[in-house]
Amino acid sequence: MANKAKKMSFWEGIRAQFSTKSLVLIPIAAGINLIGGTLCSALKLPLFLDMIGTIIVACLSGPWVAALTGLLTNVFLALVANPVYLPYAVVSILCGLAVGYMVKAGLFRKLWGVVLIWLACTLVNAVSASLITVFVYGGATGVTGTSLLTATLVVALRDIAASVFSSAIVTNLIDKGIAVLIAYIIVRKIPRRFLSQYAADGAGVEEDILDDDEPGEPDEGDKDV
Amino acid sequence: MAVKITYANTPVSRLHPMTKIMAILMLGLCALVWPDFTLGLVLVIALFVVSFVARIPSDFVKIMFGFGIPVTVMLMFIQGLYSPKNQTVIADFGFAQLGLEGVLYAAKIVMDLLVFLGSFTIMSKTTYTGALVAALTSAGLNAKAGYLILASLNVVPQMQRRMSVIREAQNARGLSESGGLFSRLAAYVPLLGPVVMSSLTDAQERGMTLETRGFGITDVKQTSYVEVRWRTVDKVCNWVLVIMAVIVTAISVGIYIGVIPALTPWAGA
Repeated sequence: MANKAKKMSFWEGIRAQFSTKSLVLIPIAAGINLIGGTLCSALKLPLFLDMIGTIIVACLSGPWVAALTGLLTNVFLALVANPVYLPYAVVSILCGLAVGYMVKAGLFRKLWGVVLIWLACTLVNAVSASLITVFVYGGATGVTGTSLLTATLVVALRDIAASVFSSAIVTNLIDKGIAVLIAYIIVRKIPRRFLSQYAADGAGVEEDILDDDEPGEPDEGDKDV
Repeated sequence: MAVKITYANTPVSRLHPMTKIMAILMLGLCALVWPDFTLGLVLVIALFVVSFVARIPSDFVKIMFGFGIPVTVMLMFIQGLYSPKNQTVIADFGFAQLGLEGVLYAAKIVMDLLVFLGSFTIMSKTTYTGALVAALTSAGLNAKAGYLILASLNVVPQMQRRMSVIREAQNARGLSESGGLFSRLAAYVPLLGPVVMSSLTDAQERGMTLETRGFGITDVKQTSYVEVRWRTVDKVCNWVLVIMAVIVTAISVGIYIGVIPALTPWAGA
């Protein structure tokens, strides 16, 4: 709650990021997060991939919009699916901010930067999610496969916090890696005409993407698919 | 995930949304500050009764047990067998000992969580989201934030429909959704990509539509079609909740500092 109060006072200063254009993007991005998750279960992938929308919106509109997207995704999940997801809103907010500021620093332009974003995102997610799992839920929520991994590790390591953290790192490393890669591919494919309308919103990333994406050059993303 | 909820007209659904939010906070607070799991258990039983009054018992039982049973098993295993606080052994499984302190800690966490989960479930299942947002907005929530919650609830089912159309179209082109892990992963981008692109165009149109209707105007008070009424029942409920929370907190503090003797032999473990 203290976190939220702090965010509200920040709000005024960040307002520039929240134009109507960006605001309408938020429900869409939250939708992409959720669709990403459902698509995973439809394709029977053992992943979550539930922050692709957050990464995309971090590239389009900036860190605070991405943070709000993360918050809204979890609020939606709590209202519709299972209230267990509500405390993890903090994780989504922190990830949105981390990715947003790294994209703002221009890291999404270079491949090593994307790797850096992946690692940072994994770390932020694993640390904050573990803290919530340990302090809110006492070690396991029982709703995901991660809980089983944690239980196995507890037997081996005999330390609850370490087990929760290691299982979070392992699952996140794979999950966020793929999520960042997919988001990268998709952002590369968004038409420039569309990207440029967000350029004035203060995120500043679109310019970078536009700059090194020479016309006629084949999309880098295509090689990956 | 696409939900169509009809709200039965019950005493619970007629309550003001803010009263229900107050109930979540106050009941959760009571369960949290109380030194052991007993009060949580009482509140959970009470919530089951409320779910019957609200005529959502099947949904409620499904969520409570769907969460409660796995999490209890997990926490009993993790905390009961491996909690560093364990001193009193109550059962020996050979490979590990079941400790009383860990079990009590696990029981307390599960009960606290179930109180929050249960009250939240009752709130979300008995409250029309429009009314919830209208109540939050009149209580000072930014109208734009309210729009975001409502818009997500509308946009997501719409995007799911679009997703299924795109899936069919891509399948018709020969996209394979089966096979090994990597071929399934490779199917991900051609499925998600078009959803993202079409949703972005949709967002653009939505933005223009909202702008022309004055959504971006600041320093004005937006009105709502949904009207929520604050009745005497709500007033009474709020007072009861607050008084209960104060009393519970006072007793708990008393137990912690030792003024009041612990009500159960294991309290504060």
